[in-house]
Order: sequence, then C-alpha cells, then structure tokens
Amino acid sequence: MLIDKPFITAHIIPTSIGASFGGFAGDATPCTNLLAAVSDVVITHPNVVNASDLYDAKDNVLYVEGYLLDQFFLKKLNLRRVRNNRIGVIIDKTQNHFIDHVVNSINAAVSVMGIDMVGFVVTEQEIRPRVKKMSSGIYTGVIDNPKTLIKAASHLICKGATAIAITMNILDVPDISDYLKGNAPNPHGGVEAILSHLVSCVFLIPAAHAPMYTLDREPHYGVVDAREAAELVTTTAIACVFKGLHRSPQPVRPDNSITSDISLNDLSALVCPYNCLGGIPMLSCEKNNIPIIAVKQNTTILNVSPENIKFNNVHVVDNYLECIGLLLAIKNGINHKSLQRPLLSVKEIVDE
Amino acid sequence: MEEIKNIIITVTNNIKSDGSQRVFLLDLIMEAIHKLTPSNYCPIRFAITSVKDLSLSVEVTLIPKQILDLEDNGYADR
Repeated sequence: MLIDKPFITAHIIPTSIGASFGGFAGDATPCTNLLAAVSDVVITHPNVVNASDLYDAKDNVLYVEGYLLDQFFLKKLNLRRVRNNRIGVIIDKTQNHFIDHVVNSINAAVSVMGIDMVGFVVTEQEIRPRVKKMSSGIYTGVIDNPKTLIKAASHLICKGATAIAITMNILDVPDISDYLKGNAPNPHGGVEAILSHLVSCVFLIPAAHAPMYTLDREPHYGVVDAREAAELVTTTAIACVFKGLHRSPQPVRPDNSITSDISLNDLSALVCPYNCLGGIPMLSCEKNNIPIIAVKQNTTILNVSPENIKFNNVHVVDNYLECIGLLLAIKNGINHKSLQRPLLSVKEIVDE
Repeated sequence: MEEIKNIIITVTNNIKSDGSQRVFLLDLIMEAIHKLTPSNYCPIRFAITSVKDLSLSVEVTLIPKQILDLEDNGYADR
C-alpha cells in the first residue's frame, strides 16, 4: 500500500533567461498541467503560467510569487491554500485611456471569473521600472520610485487586499524583435520579478506583475513565435495575474503553521530546465536531498548544468514526457534504475 | 535615497576529490552574500548565472533597507 502523503512537485523556470519552455508567454502551461496530472499539487510561479489574457493552469497548480517561493525553499515560509484571495490592483500613473483598459480588465475578472476585487490604486507618480541587461545576457532591472509602489500596496492592504496585482509601464525596453521570434530572453521579465518581489518581501503577501501596454500595438510584428502569441492578442496583460492570484496560497511563518500547510519537507521533487541549476530552489533541493529533475529539452542561455555545477542529486531527462515517467517512479517508490537496461549488479560495500 | 542595485559576486565551488561537496553551495553563497552586502542593503534574490571550472558568478539584487523598513515608513504591517 502506498503511503498516504500528498505527492507534491515544484516546477521552476526562472524568468528572462531564454528558457525554451516557459521563457515566453505561458508556454510552459501544458508541461505544468502534465506534471499536475501525476501530482497532488504542483507549486509553480507566475512566469511559468502567465499568458496575458489566457491562464489555463489546473486547479492543483499553486501560483506562488518568486520571493515567497525562495523563502519557502529556504524553510522560512510555508504555504497555506485558500479558497480565494481579495485582490487589490496597483496601476502605474499614465494616460487615462490606458488606465481604462486595466479597469475594464478588473471588471471583467469580477463579472466572468467571480474574483473578489478590493479596488485599484493609480500611483501618485510614475514608478519607472527600468530594464537592465547583465553581462551574463540575462535581464534584470531597477525601480526609480519604489516607495510609491510600497505606499500604494500599503493602501490596498489597509482596505483588505490579501493579494496584490501590479501593472506598470516598463521603461528602457530594448528592441523586442528577436524575443518575438523566439530567439532571445524576455527583456522585461527580470524587472517585473523585482516589482513583485518588493511587494511580497515588504508585506509577505502574494503579488504578481503584468506589463502595461501603453504603446499603440500596431500589427507590424506580424505572426510571432507561437510561444509568444498570447502576448499579442490582448489589450492588457493582467487577466492571467488575476486568475493566478485568485487562489494563490498565503505565506505562513513556520511557527504559525498548521498541519495542512505545505512545507519544504512535503516536496517530493523539483522539475526545472537543464542548465539553470543555480537558483535558490535548486540549491535548496540539493542541500535537502530532494530529487531535482533537469529537462534537457528545456534549455536556457545559462551554463549552470548538472555537469558544471556538480550536484549529487540531479536526474537528467530528455523531455517532459520522460520526466513524467520518472515522477511516477518516484511517486510509486520504484527505483528508476530498475526501469533501464543494462541493469547493473549491486556492489558490495567495503570499509575504506 | 539609495537605489536598487544588481551586483555580481564570484564564489568558488568547494568540491572534494571524490566529487562531493564539502559545504553545501547554498550555504557557501549565502555566507558570501552576507559578507559582501553593504549594511544599508538587503539581498532580495540571487542565482548562479555562470560556471567556469570551480568559479561561480552569482547575480544578486540588493534593496535599500530604508524601503523595507515598515515602521520607519508607517506602512501597513501584516
């Protein structure tokens, strides 16, 4: 008889590193849903499933902001599932007709998805998040007016918000032609992560960001890479954030936890791209002896591969279909070596 | 007010001759970040972004503590 313990996996794909699955607009959603089909719960983060107006992650996929996710992997926070959150929305100060687009999205979320919206705040001044490219080729960013963002979040939390959606006008975005063709990392994902990290760090609250489209989106981009298509079929990009935050688990300090909360000790495996093993989740799983499954078909622009990082706890699989087989083996307590040929003889252990 | 910073630090991986880790990499990196972070800043995220032999480049985002201090700012504290 199998043990009566939920089988919980994590699916981590860091943003702005050019991941072939998950580096675009929600294009890792089918993989995530496949993981969800063999797991009781999948813990993931906005970058993996956000797709502008589209959000199709299964109900057992938990949407956890990246800073909170890191704290979960550092055993500083546990996760508590909720029926729903009350969402407050921060809108960057801009021209009124762009704000109208966002307000229409907010109202649509209430009317179509039944989401509980506390209200929205238009910031007192522009927040000015700016894209910055690092020497490694990945994108990050800085924020010129972080205090204004914090003040807006504070206002919404005081009004009862339990999750914060943010939409900002991102500046210093380079030419995105290569990104739209599928040949370069997402330039704005890095600074988007810093925006939500900041709010989640200060208030310990679920948060997520969607870029505000303040430029007239002419059809000159043509047909873009299929993985990026979701971003081109929308007026605002924030509907996915509302859907994700709707049931995003609340962070809980371990000393305030109850037995039904999810802690790192409950995690059975982590799935990630092949050559980006240097994030906090992967480093923590190596330390805590949680199997890491690196998917070869999911490559990034980094070189932090199993061979280079020399971890002891990584299983390499070619693709997500093979990954599912390995997860099922782990779930059912079957040694994966028993499923491969040649089957080597077990060695005698001798004293050194 | 201080600005948000993105910095790169270098950490040397600590591998034994049999390939195993002497100290867990997570602890090694967190210790290095702790030592190198100015007292008025707080690391908000980090990741290894490049490996060359045993030399690891770690990119760290630092937030001024002034922003994070709820009491000083009088913001809502959950």
